[in-house]
Amino acid sequence: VKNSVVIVIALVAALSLAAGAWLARRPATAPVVSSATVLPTPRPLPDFRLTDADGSEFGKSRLLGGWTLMFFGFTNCPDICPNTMGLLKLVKSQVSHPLRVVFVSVDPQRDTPEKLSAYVKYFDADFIGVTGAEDELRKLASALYIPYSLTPPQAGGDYTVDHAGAVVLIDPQGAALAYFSPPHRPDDIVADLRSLTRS
Amino acid sequence: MKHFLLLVTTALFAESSIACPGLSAKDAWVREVPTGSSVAAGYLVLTNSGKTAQTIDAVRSPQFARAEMHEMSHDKGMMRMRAIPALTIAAGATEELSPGGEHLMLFKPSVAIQAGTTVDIELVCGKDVTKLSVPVRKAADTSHKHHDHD
Repeated sequence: VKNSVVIVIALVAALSLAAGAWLARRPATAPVVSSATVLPTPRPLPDFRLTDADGSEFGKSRLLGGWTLMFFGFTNCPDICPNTMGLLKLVKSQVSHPLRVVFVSVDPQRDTPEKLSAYVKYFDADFIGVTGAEDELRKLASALYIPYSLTPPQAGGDYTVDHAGAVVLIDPQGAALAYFSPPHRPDDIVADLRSLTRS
Repeated sequence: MKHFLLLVTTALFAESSIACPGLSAKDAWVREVPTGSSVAAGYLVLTNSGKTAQTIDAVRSPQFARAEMHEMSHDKGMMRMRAIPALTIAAGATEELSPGGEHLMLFKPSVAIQAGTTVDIELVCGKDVTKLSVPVRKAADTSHKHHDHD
């Protein structure tokens, strides 16, 4: 009887080890990333109504059927925005599949369609600039967990905008999938994009 | 008068004439102003090799309507850029103003600020002024490392 118990225990132990090894060897369902924060489930965007720099309506439908990197900022931003736009241009040139890049201006008061168009095209002719009414900007930004706030104007009327430095990856179904937060490392972003957009 | 003019001219066109005692600047550059934008950032590495702290209490540039020193803070994913009234560099210390951090903010250029041109920047320390002639670059020239893909 003693021997039987030992054999059963040994069998259970062996099976547990085998099961553990099998689980560990199973291909990971989540893509391997080095810098992105990936949402456990993609977060579908609500319908929103903004306007692109050419004056056409820009809503969720414009994000369908292709991968998008979205960044929020404003054209009178001297440091973070041009840094990030330059980074996005570099990233776009290094990934093999088409990548839509959307710059959302959260400063519609100063960023007229003309200014916005000139600004995004300065970085890349294919970049899309969008802005719109405050409530629509808030709707999109909060759905993407992107905070921003306009600071009180200085004596000369100048003001700045506090905003997230994160870049959002939106999947071809129009859902937020991952975030890239500063400090941005272009090589890591390119590697992560290859991994994330394969699935 | 002739001598005075000569002195002024020399100061204006010197590569980097140092006047704030002990203060030196290197690796200075101003980002090209993107079309559609009316602001630029300036970056540099400041070293105070003197025996006393140096405080920069103003920044000027004849090519811009206004110039400020800015700091950047990160708070819950939000980047906050704020003007600072003065920047003190301790004796023997080095302060790096670089992308994503402290920088000079230059408002409303009066001329096109394009790569290949230079911008005059004056750092004011009390009654002393350090004058710099700073190259304008596109961000891509400096902010990314280049790779060989062959």
